[in-house]
This record gives sequence, structure tokens and C-alpha cells, in this order.
Amino acid sequence: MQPDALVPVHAEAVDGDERALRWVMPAGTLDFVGAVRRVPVALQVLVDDGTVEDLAVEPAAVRIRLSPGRRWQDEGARLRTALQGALAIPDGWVAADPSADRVLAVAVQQVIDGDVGDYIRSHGGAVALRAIEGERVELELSGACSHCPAADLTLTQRFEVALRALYPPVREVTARTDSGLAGGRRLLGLSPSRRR
Amino acid sequence: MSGAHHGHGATTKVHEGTRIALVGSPNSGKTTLFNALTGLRAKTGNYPGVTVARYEGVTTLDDGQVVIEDLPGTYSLDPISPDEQIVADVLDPQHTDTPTPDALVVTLDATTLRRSLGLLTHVLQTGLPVCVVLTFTDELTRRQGSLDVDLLRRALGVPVLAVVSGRRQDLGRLRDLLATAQDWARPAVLPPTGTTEVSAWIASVLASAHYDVPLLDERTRRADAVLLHPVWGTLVFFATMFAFFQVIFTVAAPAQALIERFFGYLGSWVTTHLPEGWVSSFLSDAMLGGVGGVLVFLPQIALLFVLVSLLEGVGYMARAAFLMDRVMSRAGLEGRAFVALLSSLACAIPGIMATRTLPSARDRLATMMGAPLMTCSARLPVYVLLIGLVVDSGTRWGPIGAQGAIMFGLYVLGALSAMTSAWVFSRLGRSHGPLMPFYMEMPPYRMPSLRSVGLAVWDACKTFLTKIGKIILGTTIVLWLLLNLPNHSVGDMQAAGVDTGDDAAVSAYVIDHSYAAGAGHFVEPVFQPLGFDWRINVGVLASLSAREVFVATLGQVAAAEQPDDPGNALSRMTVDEGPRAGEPLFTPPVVAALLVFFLYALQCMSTIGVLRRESGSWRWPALAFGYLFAVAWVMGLLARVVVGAVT
Amino acid sequence: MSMVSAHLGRRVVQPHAVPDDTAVSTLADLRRGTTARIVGICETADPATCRRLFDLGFAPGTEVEMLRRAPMADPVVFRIAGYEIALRREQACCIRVSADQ
Repeated sequence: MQPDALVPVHAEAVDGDERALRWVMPAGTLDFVGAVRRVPVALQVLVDDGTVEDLAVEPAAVRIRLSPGRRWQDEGARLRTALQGALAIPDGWVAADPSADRVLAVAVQQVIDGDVGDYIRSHGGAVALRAIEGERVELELSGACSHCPAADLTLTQRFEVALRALYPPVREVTARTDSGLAGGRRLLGLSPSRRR
Repeated sequence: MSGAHHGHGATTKVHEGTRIALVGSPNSGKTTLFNALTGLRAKTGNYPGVTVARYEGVTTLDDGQVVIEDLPGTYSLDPISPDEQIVADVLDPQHTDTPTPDALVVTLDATTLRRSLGLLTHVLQTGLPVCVVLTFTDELTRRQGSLDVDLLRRALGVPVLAVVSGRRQDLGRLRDLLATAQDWARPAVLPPTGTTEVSAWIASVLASAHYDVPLLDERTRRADAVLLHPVWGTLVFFATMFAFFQVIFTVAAPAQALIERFFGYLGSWVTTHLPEGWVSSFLSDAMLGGVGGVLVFLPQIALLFVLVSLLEGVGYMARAAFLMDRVMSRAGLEGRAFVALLSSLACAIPGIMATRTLPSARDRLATMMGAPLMTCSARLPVYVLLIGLVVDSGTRWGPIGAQGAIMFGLYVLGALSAMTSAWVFSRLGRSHGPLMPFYMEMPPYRMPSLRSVGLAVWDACKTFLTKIGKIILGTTIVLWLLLNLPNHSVGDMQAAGVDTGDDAAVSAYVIDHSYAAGAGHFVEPVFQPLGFDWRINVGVLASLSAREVFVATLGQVAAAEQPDDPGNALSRMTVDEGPRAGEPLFTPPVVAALLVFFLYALQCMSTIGVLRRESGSWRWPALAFGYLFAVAWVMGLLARVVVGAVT
Repeated sequence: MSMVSAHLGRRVVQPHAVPDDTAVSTLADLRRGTTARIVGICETADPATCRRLFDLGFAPGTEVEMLRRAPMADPVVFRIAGYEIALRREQACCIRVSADQ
């Protein structure tokens, strides 16, 4: 990345919270999740002057809530500039609870709570995190999904795509069905290469 | 459907008369979408003060009808010309001479999202409710690109709908979406507009929507390897243009002949069934002749529009313009003007209408001023007649037939004059805007929407019949009146020594003593240096409505004078009076003057009508008529002198 | 002039930083089939044209490929931002590029 290029961010709405927005950033910009203890001064200014009430880091976004009485249409541009400036200095961000593993765990939970999880639940199934070993994730599929032949490939692939978007270093996603049929089925951890 | 909340309870529906505008870049499928929504219920007009066409239509949603406006295609709301200003003005509530839309539909080509999202950032700044229609998503998949529409919707914060042209259910979903325009989600934070910021924003949005850039379109790449090849491409281009014309003349001509025959039949029916006299003559000659004279243009106009729309829809026009741009730039124009000028070789009417594709108003006007000089098909019968008077069909100049060579020379002179005229007007038109930077998108080759082609042809024919047809009919009636009044009673004619039983003698007398003849004598001083006598003048004046009328009028005059041998009558016509009395009328210098006069003069009410329509005022057609008449006179004189010196 | 147009009209196209030793040429100098990265749009060019070229996808930092020339060497078709566009030499001269990194 060129030195003067801005960190690409955009804002997405948060369901049920009008004062908060998820500012989506490239996954891996920050290496922690959760509350922050300190941020670079560009952004700290906005916390100090009362514009920002709360900051929380997610695997590929920063959730920011404005203080009561402030509106995004007024503060948005200023906040974007400050955030981009702050994200350009990842070392200036200090987590309240530094724990690298947690990023992958939070990312998995985000996918479970998100669209892919919704899809699984809409088909009568359930998915939960079973274990994490380094960069390998093991999921537990239960309900209707455990007997579905599509469960393995489709669901795990979709899950992995969504997870990789939040946490690129993930190596492998496997799914174990609760009936224990034929043990867990392993998948190649690599996504299929595209013809160029 | 997204798992997100629906939030509001009962959705408020749009009310009757809501205005929704379509915004998008050229080639984004916007007009196809407009046609799919409005169909035949679209009408065209002009935006106030500019030569930009305005398309509005009506579509029915659940609750009632809404107005859909198809705004001119644009890449940006940052205008570089007065035309583009129109789009920004329409979207600005402060501008009251154009109604501000209540909601906007932005069409984005899914295969060019990295660029097209830029326009969306501009449109979102207007604050109006916006929804995005993604077009060509089928092409995106075919070219191995991918996009998650739901994720894109979340990233943009506005409704996003993929609509594939031709898919009914997509259109139904769009109508449902349009019905709830008041409730469309809006982004909490507007995207940035600064150049570095917006590039970062677009990159973030596309990454989040898992956008995979499509590969090059194989078909287009292979086709362009030939069609844009310096040698093969140019050959194919000329072959296509040649085929273009062959089709016009082989398909349109028989249809035109049919129409002429039909009206001729109707005319004779009227004269046989109505008592002879003023009324029957008026009905058959003026009314039927006028209506027939309008309808006879239709096959040519319809066919030309079909061909041009098809070539445009496929994407070949951009290639043709690309190949011709260098040549056109010599005349201060650009490649796209070539299509307009080329179409004018068949008829200036579709040619002038085709100038709508030119983004620059200055180019449009310059091309409109030059188009009438291209040798249109109406001049052909005049050229054939006149050349035949002085040059034998057997004469050869070396290996080439003389008649053909002269005809070709006239075509070349017409084309050169058209380019020169366009160049002059382009120079003079500096006040109408700066020289716009030239850029032209080369879209992938796509199947044209036949519906859009059909609607384009329909719109052109309808415009021609309603607006321009009135002008032609009007002038035909006026000319008829001039040629047939004052009315002479049988007694008057007998007293003058005319055999009233002889139709030819009667019509000769009527013509000789008509107002038109009076006008012909009156303008004699003007045309005398060119060697025209009053009979030629009558023909020239009559042909002001349409050039082919010259042949018919002269035919009438000739038949009147020498009823037993009308064929050779013209060549044996002698001058009545004046210094050349007794000499043959149609000598080579005079014929040359007449040919050149016809090449330059604007003798076509239909063209004047189209110029008025496309340029938005009478100023331009009046200017065209005036300057072309002056040039025709001067060049005619020059021709007479030069040919007189040589022969 | 509408508010949005006025606002957009104040934009300035920021050039893209490149290491000092990189050779910078113009788009007009690109050979057929080669790619380059856009560095900036000449400040001497008309500002409206600069902004328009940006809106057409010629953004600093973007990759551009020269596809072909017309028979008389002008205009030239480029591939940029996922689509193809023809530019005349006088516009291509205004766009500075560096060899693709």
C-alpha cells in the first residue's frame, strides 16, 4: 500500500441503534477485538470533546456510538477522516483486554450471528463453535443440518468465505455433526482458485 | 430477503403523480429500463433552453400512475457542458424551471462498478431518496465476476435490486420497490466526495460486497480484434456502411414506390368520382399529394432508425465513431458525428435526429448545419434528370462513364461541403461552450433490446408524422394554391384561345398564369445571372417544399409546352425573352449552375421542420436556409462561369 | 449551478505518491498491451477536464492498460476500472503514469 493512501472504510447501519455505526475496515488492520484503552490522537480528540460515546473493535470493523444529541449527518465526515487517520497507525491502538485468539473467536461468533447463521437456522439447523486450535476452527452442526448432504460442502464453504472476510489468516473450517456420522468431515482449507 | 428488520409498520405508498427519475451513465441499461417501465407511454420533448432531448413516461404501480423521467446519461454530476448541467439542475430543488423528482433510481452496470459507484456518491449528495438498480448482473456472472447484492445493500445503506433486462419478475420487484419510495433506507453518513476519499470508500464497499471483477468479455475481445483492426476493421466498416445503403435503397425504395402508387391510385379515384373542378383537384393534388408526400418518407426513416438503433444497441456505433474520429476532428467534430452525417446520405431527417448522441451542444449544432449538404436521396431524381439533359448515357471519359462520374463528383462535393460547413459552425459556436474533451466508452457487444429498437423507431416516426408532417402538408397546400390560382373560368380560357377540351393546354395556361408563375417572373432578376428562366424558377420555388417536386413541376411545364413529345421537351426548350432568347435553355453551364444550386440550397421543408425541433428554435433553420441559399447562389454562378469557360 | 455541482466543482484531484526513482511518463506514451499505474492528472490541464477524467475512472493509483490505436494513431482505447474507453491524444497527454509496480 502506498504511504499516502487512505485506509478504505465505509459505514454500515447497526440494527436497533441509531447512534451507532459499524465502520467497516480491511480485516486484519487491528490485531485485537473488544473495548479500547487508547487510540491515536486523531480519534481520541473526538472522544475527549464528547462526540463519541463508545468505541469497540470488531474483527473487520470499528463500532462507534455517538453521544446522545449528536447526529451522524453532522459528525460523519469529520469522524471518517479521524478514523482513517487513526487506523493508519495500528500501533497507536491499545486494547483494553489484549488477547489475539479472541479475534478469531469473535469473528466466528459474528458469522454465526450473521447471514450464514441465519441461513442455517432458516433451514431448521443450528451452528455453534466447538473448538479453535491456532487458525483452525471446528464447528458443531446440529438439527436438520446434521443429516443434510449439502451441509458439509455448502454450509462449510459459505461459512469459511464469510469468516475469511473477517479473519483472512484462517486456515481451515471443519464441521462436526452431532450424530457423529463418519466423524467430522474435513475440507480443504483453501478456497478454489479462480481462473485468470 | 435480508434478515434485517422492516422497522416501519404500514409502508406509505407513493401517491399518484409522483415523479421518479432514472439516473445513470450511458450504456448502463438505463434507457432499456425506462422503455421496459413505460413502453409506448413515453413522450419526448426538449429541456428548456438547450438542445437536449427529454424523455418522460408513465408507469402503473399498485396504487396509481407515477411519472418516470429518463435523465440524459451522465458519468458525473459535475458538469462540463450546459447539457450536463441539465441533470444537475433537474435534481436541484432550487431550480424551478424543471420539476424536481421525488425519488431517484440509479442504474449501475454491475460489470463496471468500480467506476459507476462514483456517480452514486454524487447522486447521494442531493439528499433525495435513492435506490440502486444493478444491471447486467447476468453478464457479470457469465464473465466470472461475482457480487453479493445483500452485502452491497448493507454497505451502501440504500435499497439495491438486481434487474436483468427481459426478466419479468425482476421488473415486478422493481415496481414493488418503487411503490414504497417514501420508505427507502438512507445512508446514515453520506459517502465522501474528495478524490482520494471516494476511491477508498469505493474500495471498501466493493471488498465488503465480495465483488470479483469480471474477466474481459471474450466475444467482445475477439470481435474487436477484427472490427478495430486498422486494416480489417476499416474494410469491415466500409462494407457495413455500403450494406447500410444497399438496404435502404433496395428495401425502402420499393415500399416508397408502393406508397406513391397507392396515393396516385387514390388521387385518380378522386378525380374520376368527383365532378371535375377546383375541389377535386385540390383534394387529389394538394391533400392527397401532401399526405402521400409525407408518408413516402416513412419507409426510409423507419428503416434508417432500425439500422442505426440496432448498430447502436449492439455497440458497433462506438467502434465506427472510433475509426472515424480522426477524420471528423479535422472538421472540428468527433467520430459520433459521422453516423449523423452518414444517415443524412439517405435523408437529412434521421441524420439530424441522430445528432442527439453527440454530448456537445456545439457539435450537435455544427453537425445539424452541415447535414443538409450531404447528398440526400431526394436530390437523386433531380441530378439524374439534369445530367441526362446535357450528357449522353453512353459518353465515357476514358474508362469511366461520364454520367456516373459527374454523380460521384456531386456526392464528393456534397460531403466536403458538409464537413466545411460543420467546421465553420463549430468555430463560430465557441460561445455555446468550450471544446469538450473527447472520450467515448466502448461498451461490450450486447444483444440490443428489440423493444428499445422498436420504441426508438416508433418515436421517430411518430415525431415525423405529427410535427414535421404538418409542415410538409402545409407547404404542399400553399404551393398547390400558388400553382393553380387565380382560378380561370372556362369562358376566360376560351377567350384566350385555349382549347378547353385539351387537358394539357388547360394546365399549361393555368401554370403560365398562376401566382407561382408570377413569382417565377418576379424573382427572375435574382436567378438571371445563373441562367435560370422563369420556368426553372417556378420549379425551384416549388421544390422548396421537397426537391423531387422539381422534376414533377418541370415535367408539367414541359408537357404543357410540347404535349406531343414531353420526353425531349426539356432539352429542346428555348429561352423566351431577354438576351438569350431563342437559345436552348438547358445548356451545360446552366445545368451545372442548377446542379450546384440543388446541391447547396436547403429545399426541404421537412429538414427545416426537424431543425426547428432538434435545435429548439426557428433561429437555426432560418440561418441554415439563409446561408445555404447564399452559398447556393454563389456556387451556382461559379459553376456556370467555370463550365461555360470549359465547354 | 446546483449546490451539488458547486460542491463537486471544488474537488482537486490529488496525485498519487511514487518513489522518486520511478520513471513517470504520460498515458499517450504507453505502448500497446502495456499496463501502468496512474500517478496524477496534469495541473496545467483545464480543471473541469481533470475532474471529468477522474470521474471516468482515471483515479490516481488505478491500473490502466493500453489496448489499441485507431488507424490514424488517434484516438486510443484504454482499459481502466473494468471498462474500455477511447481518449484522444490531447487528453491522454494530460494523464501521468508510472510503470506498473
